[in-house]
Amino acid sequence: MPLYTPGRRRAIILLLLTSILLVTLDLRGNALFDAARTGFNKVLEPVENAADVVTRPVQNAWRGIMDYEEVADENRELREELEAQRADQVVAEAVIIENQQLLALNDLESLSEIPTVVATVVGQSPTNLDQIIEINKGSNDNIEVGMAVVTPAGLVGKVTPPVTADRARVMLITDSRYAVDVKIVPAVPPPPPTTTTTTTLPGSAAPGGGTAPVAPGDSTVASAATETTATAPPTSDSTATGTSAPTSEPTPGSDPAAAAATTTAVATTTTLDLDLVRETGGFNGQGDGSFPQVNFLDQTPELGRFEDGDYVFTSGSEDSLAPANIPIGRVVNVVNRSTSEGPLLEVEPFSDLDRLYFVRVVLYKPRSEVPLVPLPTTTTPPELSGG
Amino acid sequence: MLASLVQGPLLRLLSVGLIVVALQRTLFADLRPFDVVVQVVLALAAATGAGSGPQKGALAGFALGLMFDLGVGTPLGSSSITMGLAGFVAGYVTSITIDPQWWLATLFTGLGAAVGEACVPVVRSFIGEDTVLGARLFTILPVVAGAAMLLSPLFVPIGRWCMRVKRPEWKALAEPAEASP
Repeated sequence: MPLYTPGRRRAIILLLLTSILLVTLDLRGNALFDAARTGFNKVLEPVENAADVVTRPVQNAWRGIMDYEEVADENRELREELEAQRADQVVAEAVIIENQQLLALNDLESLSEIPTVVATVVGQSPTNLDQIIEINKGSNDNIEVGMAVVTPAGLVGKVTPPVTADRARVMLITDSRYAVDVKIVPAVPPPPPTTTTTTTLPGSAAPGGGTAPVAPGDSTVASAATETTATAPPTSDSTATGTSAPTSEPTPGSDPAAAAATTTAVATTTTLDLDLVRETGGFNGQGDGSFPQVNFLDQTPELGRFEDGDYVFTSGSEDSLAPANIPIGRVVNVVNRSTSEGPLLEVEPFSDLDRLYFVRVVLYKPRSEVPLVPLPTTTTPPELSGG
Repeated sequence: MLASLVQGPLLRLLSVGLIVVALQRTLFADLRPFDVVVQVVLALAAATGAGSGPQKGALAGFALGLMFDLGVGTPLGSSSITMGLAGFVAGYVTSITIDPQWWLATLFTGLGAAVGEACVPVVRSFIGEDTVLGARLFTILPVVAGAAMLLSPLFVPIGRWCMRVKRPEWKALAEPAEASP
């Protein structure tokens, strides 16, 4: 039997062309293929559940053999970490509550106001190329493609197609196709400006000239001027603590009392510092085993240079699918390139993407997709119109 | 038409493919030697090629690749190319071997799987996806090939059964010089 006959060659070329045609049609978006995917997953689901049950002992045995030492070490480290963090938690919770009150006071958007859905990770990527996990919640829980997925430590990824009624896939931030706008927040506060910012705090006429806490609900905090003045140092805390981002890493060495004082001052200088401290860029995954990178940055001398240890947060730009101020990671390497290219930052994610069990899907739609509600027409009060 | 559907390899391939894709998404997504996902569907495609010849290997790889794409969510047809190629390569090298022993089929299964896996980033690049693998590919390929070789004693007979290759046929495949007129 000859190896190559015209018929065989034709069959193989036909298969290749069919594959290329299918890829082309699928990439252009095809409802028939989407339906086929959904149908196939419906058929596959019981088989997959059965396979999961049958192979569970094998998986457990494998993990027992391969991961025992690692798990034991990790368990010990976690116990030590837990002890250390119990005290920090109390302080952090107090700061978060205070922070939320201040955000509400200034009509600023807070991450905690956005509804979320907790989901369990039920599957990992079956390929070596994609960094994708599967979660047990889907469109029944209002999950849509593009929504950000977080853990208490920070950003994990985004929901990617297909989303079925009770399942969704999450593209991790290490996937080479993942991209999001980010801002860099210096870990070390930039040098104070040469001109002293003088801020007047209402209700701060504390004995001895100290800074008194701002009463929640005082809506005149930003504009009122009273007789007592206090200097508000512009610190990077204004951004880091000016949000309720679910970070588990409070500023090292921060004193609770000092933090409270700083936050109080921030309430009056937030607008200024948010504009000053941030530097935005494009965050891209680089595949498994490589740190994600931040590109398209400008090295602005007055904001200080990028350094190892700087924090990376989502910037929440107009079209960004992720809301602002979700912590992503810490800069571990700064590559200085030519001026036109700008610096390149390598970022170590806060979330441990190899051990994801529970995640939270942020049910957030970018501002550009939220339909605009026409403002009601207002009539000018007679006393203001001068009439 | 219906008879050819029932008597042809399609039903067997579909049923076996469903199980293997389910295993790929559950057991083999978790078992990651050297942090590499063992490509069990690809191994079946290559083993089918090694056991049934290049044409049937390519056909089985095409069908299994379609099922993989439908189940995993990768662009439909992208895995058909790589798995079809894996089946074809494994079948082709088996065909040109004078006396393909069982261990050679094992070796060729590994080779086919390695070729198929190596083509995944190439195909993804062609369809416009950023693929960054670099040096990691040199870890992935040996592991995927090694796993396929380990699975081949099981998968070669399964592949033959799926493609309805009878014993005389694969004996003829093993002895091409005698079988050819």
